Amino acid sequence: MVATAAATLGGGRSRPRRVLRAHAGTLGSGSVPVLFLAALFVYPVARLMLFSVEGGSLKHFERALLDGLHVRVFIDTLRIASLVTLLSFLLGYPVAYFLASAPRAWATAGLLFLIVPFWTSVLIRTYAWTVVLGRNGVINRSLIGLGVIEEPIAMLNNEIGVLVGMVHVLVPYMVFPIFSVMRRIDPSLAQAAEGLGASGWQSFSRVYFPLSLPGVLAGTTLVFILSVGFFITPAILGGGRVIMIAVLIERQVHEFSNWGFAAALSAVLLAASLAAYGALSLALRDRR
Amino acid sequence: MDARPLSTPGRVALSLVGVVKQYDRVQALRGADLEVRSGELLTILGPSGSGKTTLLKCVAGFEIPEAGTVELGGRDITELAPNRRDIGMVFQNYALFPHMSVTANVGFALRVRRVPRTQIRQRVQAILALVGLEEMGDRLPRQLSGGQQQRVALARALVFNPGLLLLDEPFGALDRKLREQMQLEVRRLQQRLGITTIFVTHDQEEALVISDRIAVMDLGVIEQLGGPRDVYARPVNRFVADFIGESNLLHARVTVAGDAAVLDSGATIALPEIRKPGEEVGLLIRPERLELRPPAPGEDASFAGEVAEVVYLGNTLKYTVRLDLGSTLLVRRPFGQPPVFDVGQRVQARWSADDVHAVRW
Amino acid sequence: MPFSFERRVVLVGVVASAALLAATVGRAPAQKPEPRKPDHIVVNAAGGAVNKALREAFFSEFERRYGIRVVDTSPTDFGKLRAMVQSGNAEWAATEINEADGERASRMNLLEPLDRTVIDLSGFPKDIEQHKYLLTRGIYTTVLGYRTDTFAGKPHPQTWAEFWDVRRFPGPRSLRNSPIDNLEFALLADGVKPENLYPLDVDRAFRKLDEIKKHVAVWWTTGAQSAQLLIDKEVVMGTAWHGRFYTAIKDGAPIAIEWGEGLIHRTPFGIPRGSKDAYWGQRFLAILAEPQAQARYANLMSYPGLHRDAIRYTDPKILPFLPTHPENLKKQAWANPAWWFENGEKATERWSRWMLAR
Repeated sequence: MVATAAATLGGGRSRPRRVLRAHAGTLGSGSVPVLFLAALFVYPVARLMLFSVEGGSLKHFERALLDGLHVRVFIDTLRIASLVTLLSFLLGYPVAYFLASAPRAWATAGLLFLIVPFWTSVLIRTYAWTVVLGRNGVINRSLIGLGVIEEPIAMLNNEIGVLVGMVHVLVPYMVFPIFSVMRRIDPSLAQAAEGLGASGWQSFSRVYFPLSLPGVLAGTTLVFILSVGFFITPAILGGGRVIMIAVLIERQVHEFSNWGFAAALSAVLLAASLAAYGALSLALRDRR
Repeated sequence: MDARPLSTPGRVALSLVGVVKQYDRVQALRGADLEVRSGELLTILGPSGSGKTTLLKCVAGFEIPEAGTVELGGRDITELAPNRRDIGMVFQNYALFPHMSVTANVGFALRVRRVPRTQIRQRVQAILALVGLEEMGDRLPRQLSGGQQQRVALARALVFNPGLLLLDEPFGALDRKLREQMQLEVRRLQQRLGITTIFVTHDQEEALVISDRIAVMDLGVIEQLGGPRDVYARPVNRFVADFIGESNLLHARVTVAGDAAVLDSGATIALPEIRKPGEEVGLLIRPERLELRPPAPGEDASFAGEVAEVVYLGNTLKYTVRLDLGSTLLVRRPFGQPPVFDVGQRVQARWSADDVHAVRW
Repeated sequence: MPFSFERRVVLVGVVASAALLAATVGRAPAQKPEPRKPDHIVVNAAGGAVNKALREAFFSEFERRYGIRVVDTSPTDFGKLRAMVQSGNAEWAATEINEADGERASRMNLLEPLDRTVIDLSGFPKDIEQHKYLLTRGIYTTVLGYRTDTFAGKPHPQTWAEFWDVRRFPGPRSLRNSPIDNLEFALLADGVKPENLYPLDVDRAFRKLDEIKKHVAVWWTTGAQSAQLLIDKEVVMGTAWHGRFYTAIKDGAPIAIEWGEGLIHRTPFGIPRGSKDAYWGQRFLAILAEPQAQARYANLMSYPGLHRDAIRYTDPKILPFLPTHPENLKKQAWANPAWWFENGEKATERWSRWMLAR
């Protein structure tokens, strides 16, 4: 639900501009993107929200917010999404940095490697991880073969598996925005900082990193919103023990046709995501 | 900022010996030697690709030369990291930190040196006053004009009392009027602080205005090092003669007597000093040293010709004269000083023997 | 307008013949003229391999017989069915539907009644033959599977009570991440007779599930996962739909199926109410009910139909892997979709709560 909303938002950002250019002469500036957003984002979300208060009652929200199960799953979802976002950042930032400072050909090759997995379905990539992380998977077998461990480490069918699988799918969403911002950072700024006496770390922490923050904000927002709506990867790699809110929403829609309650859960999730995004962007803005 | 002299004038502050730097297959520096004296403003002048920026990078530490040494204040800094060299640098595009206010930009070098906060505030305030930006401390770089950005960059490079100041084509982005104003301003500031400065430019006019000495570079070596007048009036070779200022450079061969040279056209010109007989030389006569007169009968007609073009340049008139014997001459005369000629008029070019300078061809 | 005699005679004649025609049609519906043939009809099903096998077994037969192309869509989607019928624009001639949704759709009057003059259901078990809206195309069974290497030369678990017995049959297990089947299995393990399963005693089932919980290494979500867990040796025994195990066994995996106390589910088809191609939908369902076609499908997908003659046409090599094999059929129990339709949501929510309780 939220993933759809994010996709709509993303589309809304790039496409109206093209439309606008084509009609700039005839239409008042801004009206086309506004209509576009309204039609593809505001209206569907509003319609969905209406489902949640069907019959003018707040019973769905009562159930979503007061019931221990749903509260627990909400908290788990936000916690896992935050962890995934953090891990994606810790992994993705150095990758973006490496690609942004590498020669063009290298950067192009690197980005291609990041894009290629998008051509295989998330489902297949998820199953691939079961082969790697399982009790008899590649990692455990090698470690046992090398005599490092005697009993297999539980990396699958628990939260570790979920984190690994989700981070793997989502890291590119972190790398791309950060990379594109880094690419625009003037390399002479680092030289200037060093020339003024800054150590490598000082130059990075006081100049480069703050300048890359807009990319970090975009990347973390994207990854967080996508991970909050994740469905199949946690279900498979978590072995059923990790329940994300999207699973409950999907069940309400598909198994029970309970659109009202599904909409209420989505609304709460949307609100929580927006709140998290707001907090994050405020925090990052203060740093700049 | 305290106004104590940063260095003793006259002593060698920086020296480069046999510096070689290679990029892929291109040799950017081919054994450059240079001594910069304490307190002077030395300009490295050369066309693009001459190696001047590479030289500056070797001094700043952004490049490590393959061979040769760089010494600053008697200390070998050839392979020292840039952040430990104690050199202030102003970049071509200023490289101001876009996310920091003017105050933060200027105070950067002090902050990374962990100078106490109150001291930072005082020193930043003082240097901003010096460059006339005390009111602009809270602005971001993008809220400043080009000239103001330039001053911030200068203040930032000076605030930590570096032993050496490097200026990498700092005026390139400014319009002409502002550029001339900033040139003088930088020069005044440099003299007031007495800071040893290396200034890199490809603009020979700028170099002549601002420098104590000029090092002319070409193809990775320093061709000539001397005062502006010296370099202008007595270039050591054709390249320097041609690159600095406008020039009439005529190919000639020295006579057997060694006191004159014969041009390709057959005309003979007297030399101010004796040269090796038979040597191939270029004869340099600066356009402003030439005079034009209506031709008089009975005179040597070797330098008679016709005005091909007249350009008014505010305070001077620039003539292009096509000589009857083939070549052309550039002539510059102060505006409003007769005689004045029009296109098509016949003229005779004249000069004093002292104004001829012979260089190796 | 002047009323002429000739005109009146003509009018009477027209009315009379129309009445006659109507009477004939009323008496002999089989002779009703066939509606104009459309270029194609749309049949909706699960998608992927299912649609491919459906095409080989049924669509191609329909196309051959009536000269109408079958366009298939996927996936099965109750919400879409409901929206289609309620907007009066049902484009599917027929759709596959899961058994609980089928129950729901029947009660919500979203399906056309089956036309028994077209569809021959005489070869089917009584309850299936009598269903007003749903044609059970086939069945599948949730069964117990185990690794043959782990239990080589030893007895393997044959009942849910033995699946629950971690002392006699040690090793990690897997179950589906859903109360469906698992509540039944827990009750069977606790000694409830198959014929007394429904209505399910949910409290008792969860109490029994508590016992096995920490021995379940994986709660699977997708069908592909269920068999793969045994192939990868993540678990030594677990549940899956029988077709998933069959595919793995066919590919050489050391896995065997225990049919004992497997739970049979139906995969019904129905015709959306008001479908513009309902006439052809009835004829398509008629082909689904033919034993030869059902056997063709079973040979491809191992999900057999229930027509009693279908096994006669089925490849004998795969018969032992079919729930309809008489030896297998007598060991299994039947799921009750009506109970799940009424109690599914509550049971599922309790299931999630139970899963999160550590």
